[in-house]
Amino acid sequence: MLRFLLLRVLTTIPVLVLVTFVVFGLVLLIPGDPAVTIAGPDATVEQVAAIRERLGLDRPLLVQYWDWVTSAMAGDLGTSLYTSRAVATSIGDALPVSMALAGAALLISLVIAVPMAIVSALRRGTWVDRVATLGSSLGIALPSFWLGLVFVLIFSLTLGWLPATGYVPFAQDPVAWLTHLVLPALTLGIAGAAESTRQLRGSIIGVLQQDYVRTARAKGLRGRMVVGKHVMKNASVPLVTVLGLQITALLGGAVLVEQVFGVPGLGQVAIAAVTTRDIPVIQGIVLIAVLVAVVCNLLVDLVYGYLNPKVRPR
Amino acid sequence: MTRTLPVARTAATTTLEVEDLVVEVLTEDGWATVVDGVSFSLGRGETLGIVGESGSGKSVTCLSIAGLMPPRQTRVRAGTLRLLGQDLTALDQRQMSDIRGPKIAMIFQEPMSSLNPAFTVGDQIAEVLRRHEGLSRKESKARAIELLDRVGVPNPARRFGQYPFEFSGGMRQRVMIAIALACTPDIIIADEPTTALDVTVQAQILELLREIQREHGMSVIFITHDLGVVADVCDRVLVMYAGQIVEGAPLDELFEDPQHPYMEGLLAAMPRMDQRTDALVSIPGHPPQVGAFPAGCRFHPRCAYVRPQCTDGAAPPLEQAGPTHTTRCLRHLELTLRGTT
Ligand SMILES: Nc1ncnc2c1ncn2[C@@H]1O[C@H](COP(=O)(O)OP(=O)(O)OP(=O)(O)O)[C@@H](O)[C@H]1O
Ligand code: SF4
Ligand SMILES: [Mg+2]
Repeated sequence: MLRFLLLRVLTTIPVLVLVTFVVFGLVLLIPGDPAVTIAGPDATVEQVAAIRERLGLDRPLLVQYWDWVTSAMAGDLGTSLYTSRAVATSIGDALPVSMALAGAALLISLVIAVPMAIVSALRRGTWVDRVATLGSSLGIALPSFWLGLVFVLIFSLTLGWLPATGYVPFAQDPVAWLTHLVLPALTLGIAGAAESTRQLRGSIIGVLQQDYVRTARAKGLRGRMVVGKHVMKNASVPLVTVLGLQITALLGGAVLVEQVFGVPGLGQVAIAAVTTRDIPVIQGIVLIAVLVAVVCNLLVDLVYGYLNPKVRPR
Repeated sequence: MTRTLPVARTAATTTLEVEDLVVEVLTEDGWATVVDGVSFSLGRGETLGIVGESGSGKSVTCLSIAGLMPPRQTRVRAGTLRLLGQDLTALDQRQMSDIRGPKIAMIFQEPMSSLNPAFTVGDQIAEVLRRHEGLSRKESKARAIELLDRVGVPNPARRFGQYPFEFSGGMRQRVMIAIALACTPDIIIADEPTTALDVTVQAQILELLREIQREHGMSVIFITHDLGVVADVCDRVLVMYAGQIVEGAPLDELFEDPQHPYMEGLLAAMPRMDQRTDALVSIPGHPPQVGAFPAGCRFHPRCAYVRPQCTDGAAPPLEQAGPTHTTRCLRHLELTLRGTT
């Protein structure tokens, strides 16, 4: 197991090297000179040159790259060109927020999707199944920011149960943290739940037709055991793939929902950085997003190994 | 409906009695009958063969006995099933699941797909014991290893922790037998257990089944296409055609003196050791589709002895052709059919 993990981590290294190149290089392709941008429209040529030198933009590319990679590994992602804050600090503030949001959304989506998928697969073709299928089609089709606005309208403005926007750190007030998290997490979770339900329902229906499910019933196992053990372990495999993608997407792509609910997550930082061409921040965020994706993939592979002994290393 | 005139047997020696079983499946054109008035009884320690071409209703008959036909798409329309005097048709799903394992166990044809790929074979044996005998994890593991050993899996303690993909087809079928044997059931239903295996492995598995049956004196229902296998293992045989039993007799009697033209055809088509089988004889035509069974004798479109009286009205009744021999042929008294000698 340990060897497998080590091997998997080692194989991601070339990917990471490639990604750092691309992240670093992409920024050079963006039209416009950051030094000019930072210096502002009234700056003289000398001022621009000074800024360029301060940022190291005048040195050879490989040197710039090497500097960037080594300091990134030391946890120094540079300084924002605008706020002059350390990029690592901005990301360090936003990442836990995004992680809490993503975690809550994922939890909500699973709590909805798993029972719904099981019931509609077992009662295939009945009205329960039709309602669930319609529900998940809607959940996939409806834009999440719109759903978010509707939730705000209902639960905050009309019913007054939950705060409409904002975020309170857990350390400051756990209850407020939770109440602020519910609506954005629900908004994100529903889209995820819809996708997971559809995926899981399909795979459960497929597994139910397998001979080994008949064997499990022929042994006299109770329905709960047949479905909960024999069906679910096999039917979960495609779900894990979907979940892996969802986590990655949730951490980097909750931009609109963060905006709607004023949640200071990575998405907010990303928007600010992109609109101002804040290169070090963009680089930092992409790097983090890639790391998250790599870690998620690793986790997905580990879970695969658990679910499917055939792919497990021996 | 007609029924087999039961071979005289006292309650103590009969494990299972099936009477007038009718099973329907849902097709595009509505409910269609696939098993039509099947009746038979199974004696203690007896091996009863069920033969017949594909689609004749052999599996449906047995799955219905075990309550394993999928609900909603299929239904048992009529019939009584008595297992050791207990009426199975009166039981609900939950009560049926208590029966499966300790009283009726099944072995299926596909050893490759009948075991769950995601669990160790050991766990798949042990869970039966935990479910029905309330054994702990440790106890059930010890018993499962004994069972693996009993069915001839070498290195049982190590094999316990391995997954189905690490086993060959024959070894998996041994595992299936271990699962079936776990709670020493009264009846084992083996649905073409050796069809998917190659000949040498097939012989080993048959030998194992025979041994186990001798050891525990259980009753076995053995479904197969292969008359050679039937001759090897069965005491008595039922022949099914288009959802009905068309002939039933003790093994030797059936082979030497068939009373139904369909059985004569099956025997003629049987490849034999003592003759070159280049010119494989087979019954011309195909069995009828579900929902389109012919009027009169269902076999008449393919029968060489067909007469006008065979072609309409209800299906012929199952008649006694001897003390322990039944047939569903109107002309069995006038015909002299060829068996094996
Ligand atoms: N779940 C089901 N839904 C619909 N039709 C079914 C179902 N199970 C069986 N049937 C139909 O019932 C008929 C009898 O099938 P059965 O499996 O009993 O045949 P069999 O004699 O076991 O054949 P084989 O030798 O191929 O196993 C077939 O026409 C089959 O298509
Ligand atoms: S009843 Fe007639 S058609 Fe049917 S098997 Fe007998 S002879 Fe053939
Ligand atoms: Mg069958």
